[in-house]
Amino acid sequence: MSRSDEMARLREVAAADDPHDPTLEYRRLAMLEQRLRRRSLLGGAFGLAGLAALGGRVAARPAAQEAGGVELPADAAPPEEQVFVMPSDATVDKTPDFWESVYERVSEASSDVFSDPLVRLNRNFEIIPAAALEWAGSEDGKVWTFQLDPTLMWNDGTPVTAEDWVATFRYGADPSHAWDFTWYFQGVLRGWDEALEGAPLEEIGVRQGASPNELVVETVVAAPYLPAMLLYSPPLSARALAEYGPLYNSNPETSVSAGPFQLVEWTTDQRVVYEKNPAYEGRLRVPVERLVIKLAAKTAYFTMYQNDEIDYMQFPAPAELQIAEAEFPEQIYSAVGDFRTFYLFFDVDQPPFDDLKVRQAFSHAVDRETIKAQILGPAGVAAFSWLAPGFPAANGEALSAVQAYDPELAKRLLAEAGYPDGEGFPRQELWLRNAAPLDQNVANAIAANLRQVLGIEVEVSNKDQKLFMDSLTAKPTQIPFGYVSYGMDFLDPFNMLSVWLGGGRHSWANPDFDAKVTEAASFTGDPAQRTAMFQDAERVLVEDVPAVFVYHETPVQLIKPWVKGVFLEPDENGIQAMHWPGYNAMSTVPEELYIGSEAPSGRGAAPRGAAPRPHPPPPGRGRGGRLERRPSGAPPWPEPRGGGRCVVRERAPRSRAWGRAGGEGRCRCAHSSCSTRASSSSTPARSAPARGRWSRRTSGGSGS
Amino acid sequence: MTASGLTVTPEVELAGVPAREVSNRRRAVRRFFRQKLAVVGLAITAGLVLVALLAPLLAPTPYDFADLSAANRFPDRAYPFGTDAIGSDFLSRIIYGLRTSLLVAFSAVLIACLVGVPLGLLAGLRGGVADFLVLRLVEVMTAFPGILFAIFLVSIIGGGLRNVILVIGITSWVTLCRLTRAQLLSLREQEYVLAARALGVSEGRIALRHLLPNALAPLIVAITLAIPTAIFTEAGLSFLGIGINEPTPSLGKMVADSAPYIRVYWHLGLFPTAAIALAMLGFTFLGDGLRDALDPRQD
Repeated sequence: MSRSDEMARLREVAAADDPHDPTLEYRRLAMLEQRLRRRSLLGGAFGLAGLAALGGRVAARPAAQEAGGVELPADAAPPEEQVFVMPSDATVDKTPDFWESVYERVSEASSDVFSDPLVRLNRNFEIIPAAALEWAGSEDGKVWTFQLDPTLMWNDGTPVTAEDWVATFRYGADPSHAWDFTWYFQGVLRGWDEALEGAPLEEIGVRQGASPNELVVETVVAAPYLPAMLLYSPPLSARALAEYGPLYNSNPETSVSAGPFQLVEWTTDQRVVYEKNPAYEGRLRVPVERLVIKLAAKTAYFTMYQNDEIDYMQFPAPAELQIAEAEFPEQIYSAVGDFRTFYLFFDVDQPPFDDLKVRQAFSHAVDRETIKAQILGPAGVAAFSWLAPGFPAANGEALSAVQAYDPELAKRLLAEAGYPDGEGFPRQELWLRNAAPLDQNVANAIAANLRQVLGIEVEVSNKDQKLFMDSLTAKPTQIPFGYVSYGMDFLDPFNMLSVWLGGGRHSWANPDFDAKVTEAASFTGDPAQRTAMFQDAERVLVEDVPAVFVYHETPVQLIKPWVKGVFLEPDENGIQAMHWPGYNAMSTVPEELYIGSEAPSGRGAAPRGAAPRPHPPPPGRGRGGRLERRPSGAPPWPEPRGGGRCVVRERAPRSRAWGRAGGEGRCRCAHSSCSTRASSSSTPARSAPARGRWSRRTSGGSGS
Repeated sequence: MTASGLTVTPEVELAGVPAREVSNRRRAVRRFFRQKLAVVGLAITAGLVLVALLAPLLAPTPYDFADLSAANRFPDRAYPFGTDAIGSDFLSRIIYGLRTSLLVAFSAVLIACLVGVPLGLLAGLRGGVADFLVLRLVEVMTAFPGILFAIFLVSIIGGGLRNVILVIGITSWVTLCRLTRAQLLSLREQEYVLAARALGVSEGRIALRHLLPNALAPLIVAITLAIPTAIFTEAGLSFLGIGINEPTPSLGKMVADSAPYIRVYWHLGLFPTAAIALAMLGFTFLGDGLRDALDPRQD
């Protein structure tokens, strides 16, 4: 379809808009999809061309006050009330750093604010410069050079250099670290796979270029998606990593930040507090002064939200959503999250699912539209293909007929496969991966569908995450029939489609699909052609039915009315919600969000009557063991079992900033300027005089 | 389990008053019916067993039928107990859930009897090494809290109806074993046992004909009281999500599933909770009533 045809069609659709038309939503999504498809044509160019426009900057507003050099809008709360309170799962509070552990990071909504990644996503899901000012790929797409922002400093006074990324990547690949995200760079970074097998870490293809401010990343394949992939690159401090070990950011005493926030408190089971890092000179102009992350059980979030104890939460349980819809519908938002798709999958190597007709029968027996209407509500949209609306190369409309709900066809196909009315079909156990109540309901509804349409007995069994993943990835897989989801890690079709490559987590292997995906992935020519190649591959996937696609998740967020800012205005895709990956230096959300003046005051104050315990250094695992082998002269860690409280309360005055609640625990303050610090530290105080703003302005460009 | 066994006591036979055999049983029955709670317990139990047996006739729909378009209905004329999140008739789910609970409880207690009573007989009758070994085994089992041990076993052999029955059976034989042994310890010193032994009756026959029947009364009470415990254990396991899988209804799982909905869909929590409570109460009352009825000292 040519551009003008498409525009004419869009106008037609827009003119016919009737707010009561039930298909309106679908058409809106379709339009969004088309707009995005065009956008992704541009998107492919980012990587090669280097620089996209520096969009996403907050538009100038009438200034009433200033918070840390950021002009606040007129309706904003004063700087001391710029406190944003979020919940986090208390069972997962090991580290705030992506490169330590992806799945055990504190706060799903706000992690990784202690350094800037090379690139970040703006609110239209475009890659924009962050710590890297610009980048370029070599002719063959295998060598990428990033020019780092020379003004970035760690708040211990050392500059942020290529050395930090080199150390971070080496730590990530270190077999003794056993990072939970190593797969991400497998088959992409040069020397990465070998390093995981024990080859010297120095041989990883991440190194310093001509100057300390030039980072060179080498790949084994042509990787036009590499810049997008390096969203996950907030570095650890090479110095702190060497001196304190990898968990240095779990303790205010040793924490070092080159990002918009710094750690001031970490009280196990209660809360983690970040405050604005005065030494930060990066691109994010953040209105919020203080982030309070309350550690609680996920099931308690909603009550906390109702009681104004937190400002934001994601994924309310189905019943909680009902309450919210009745009591404060204006606080409910549907985000796109990580473009997650939920699907049923089969072990295609074993009967009965080795028969394509059986799989097709299943795909036509699941009534997604009713599931959407009755169970999902704002939490998802029906899926008939893999790539969610809005994701680059998404092709939902064209593929929607392949797996459409059609009970008669489903019955006929099953009969053709030799199981008329499900007779003789073995009873199935549907495996769920630690599913939340919403997905248990969806799975139960699917089981009822299969029973009533096909006459197949399906037992639904919710399994523990580890058991599920171990059984799934075992060779041969131990799960004949399961229900799981996958969300993107970087905004390129290759990322989502790569899950289905042969030898991956599913037993389905299709040489045609593999060839199409890998060819498109490394294709450095016309982005439109690259998109078409991916769409070709997706069609193979959908037609061979290794999976029945059920729904694309649109995570429900609850946001208090006093949390304001550009992030809630519709983006190019019409989405109004906190964008993935949340309040995080990988996104522009932190500069788009401020607290309105109507917010209740005193939020985020320390809980009364509580006897907080310090965050104990978690037991050494792998290199984490370095915690105990700290160099002599470094501050001792608080006794893990001590009743002592070791909390750095304020940035100023920077004197002794600890308290003791019990007799046993003894904390010594390691705050950089604290006089009791054991080592005669050579690191300058954090209150290093602020450098001129011009450096940021010039580097940030004035194009916006 | 013959009721006559309860009352054939050598004293009675020696006294030569055969009419007493009948009157003893009658007295027990009379004692039972004198207790209001016991009668209530019997009525509840009988009612629940009947409902469970006749589930396919009583339930409006099969337990695994769902009409998604009727999801989350409150109780009304069409759905007396409302519907759940996927549109299953909740009355049907409760009826079948009761069936599951009773099936699990009866089967598990049967397993417990088959393991516990013979071991108790062995230990009580033989004494010595056998007694020592059985007692040590019992002590090892008692060292673990029952539910923890059940969770441990389920996590090894997996959930599902059959495994849950097995696990509850395995964890609840200890009480019956100890009780049997204790009964035998006192019974085996009785004169009529000595008499039988003197007459050359084999040990096995003594155990089955003379000892076991006389130990039955407390055993019946213990068995009746083990049933509500088993129901509760099953509910607990399913509540923790490691018991019975969907779509087989389990009252415990229904309670667990209702937890996040409790403030909106009250019926999802109320009815299964009430059903569990009713079953527990019924069997407990019945057990207590039986204990008093079968105890001759009550007269």
